Amino acid sequence: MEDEVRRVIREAGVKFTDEEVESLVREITGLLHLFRQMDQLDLTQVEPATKFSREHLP
Amino acid sequence: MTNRALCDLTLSDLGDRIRRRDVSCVDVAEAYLQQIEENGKKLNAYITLLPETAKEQARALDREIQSGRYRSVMHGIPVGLKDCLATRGVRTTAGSKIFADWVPDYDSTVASRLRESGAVLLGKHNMHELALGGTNINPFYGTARNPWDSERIPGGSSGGSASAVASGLCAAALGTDGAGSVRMPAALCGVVGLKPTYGRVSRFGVIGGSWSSDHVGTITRSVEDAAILLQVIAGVDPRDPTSARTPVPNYRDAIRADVKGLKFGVPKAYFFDLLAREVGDGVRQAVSVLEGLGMIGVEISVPHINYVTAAEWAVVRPERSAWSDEYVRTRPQDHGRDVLARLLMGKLIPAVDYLNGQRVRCLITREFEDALKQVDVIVSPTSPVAAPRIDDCVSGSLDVDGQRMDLVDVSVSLLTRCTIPFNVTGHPAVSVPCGFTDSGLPIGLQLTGRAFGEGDLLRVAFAYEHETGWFSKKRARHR
Repeated sequence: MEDEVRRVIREAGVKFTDEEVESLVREITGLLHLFRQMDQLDLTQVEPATKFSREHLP
Repeated sequence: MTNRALCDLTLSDLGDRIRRRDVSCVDVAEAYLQQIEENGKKLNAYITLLPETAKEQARALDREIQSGRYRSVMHGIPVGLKDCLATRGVRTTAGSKIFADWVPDYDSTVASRLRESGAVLLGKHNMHELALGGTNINPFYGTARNPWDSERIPGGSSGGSASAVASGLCAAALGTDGAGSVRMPAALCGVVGLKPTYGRVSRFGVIGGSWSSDHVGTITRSVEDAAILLQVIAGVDPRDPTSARTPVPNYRDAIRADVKGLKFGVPKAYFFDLLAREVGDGVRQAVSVLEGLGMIGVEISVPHINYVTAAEWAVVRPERSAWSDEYVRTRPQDHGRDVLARLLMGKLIPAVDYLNGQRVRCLITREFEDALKQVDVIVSPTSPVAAPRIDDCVSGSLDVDGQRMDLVDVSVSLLTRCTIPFNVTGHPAVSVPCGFTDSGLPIGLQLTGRAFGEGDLLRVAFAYEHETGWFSKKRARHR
């Protein structure tokens, strides 16, 4: 993940200290770990909620 | 009446006095401008002040009244707008260095509707940079402060708006709410924050934010004021494809009906799992008050609620990064470090996670819809904690009842934990004051209603507010 983070930083053309990179890696790892919770769910019958606004438009 | 007393009035009281010609629009505008002059600097609630145009607008509105034209209860009411709402001819920064000199040649729909209603625009409110955070610690425009204790944050991202309304620096304000950015600062500053149903209010002209989670909302001193302001801004807008055609009822009439026999639901899980003791006590007392009003409380279950923060961040982070992509590529140095980091991280979230976030969102929305078939409103805290100290937000952790809590950990999302669910589902939710901590900081109660059921939602909030009288308690004075 650190390589990915450094790539995105490099592409953005900004400089981050090693400490900042570490913090970013920690945060994105935490986020992706959080998203893995969703893998436990059975979503076979569930479509993405992009239809939310349509549901409420008569 | 002194200027200070004039600025303590609710929007509805003030509107009545202007209509009766007890005070002129110019008197009111000048009273507010004096309050801002005396107290505004310390709270740093405004990014841009418009003293001359406000007075000019007030003079024109006085002339209209003299000629027999009275526009609405908003005629001559001094308001402020969060600085991410585009205003024609007035700088709109979104709290960002990138837009520091941007003067839009168009109005956001809500700004345009407010102008038409006769409101006087005092200025643009401070906010978290690009609405991407809840502390309002802004590297470019300074930290907005909480009027109850200026060493504490007002919350965010609409923190300047909540601080200004609470301290009498405007009569009402509009903010935006993508994860709780209207309700959470309202709770932390002791005012009323309403996030309407997704689609109820046009998002045209909102700068930044997340397309599917963002809402324009109201920040006011009373529930009746929220009803008045919502009436002005609600309704379909051809410039926002997600705005709804559902008819707009008369909210001010709706709030006065009795609440006896209505049902409220208290969620079994999630909302009460992580809570400062004093906040929990305040919300439990509010439940007793609602029962005392003849409402019936029941436990409700939302089986997949614990997945709600995952769904929110899987959707919101990539949407915000997509919106900001051009600015991150061309002007990365013009972002604050925390905001730049968040925007870069959004690029690392796989599309599969984004889409699964949208699917989980659908699942949880259905579950709340089911719960709201059994009850009229859902009761919860707004923020699990009272306003944190600015120092704690900088260090990233906070003491809650002797336990150190991480303010940065997204899986906890401490400040927005209780508000996020209704950005995910789009249901309307309002934060009303429900007491104070021992150290005198406000606590917020969150009430959530059925989609497009703002009338019933505000009716319960109004009954609660009048039963407890929190809104008439001593007005915020910065210390």
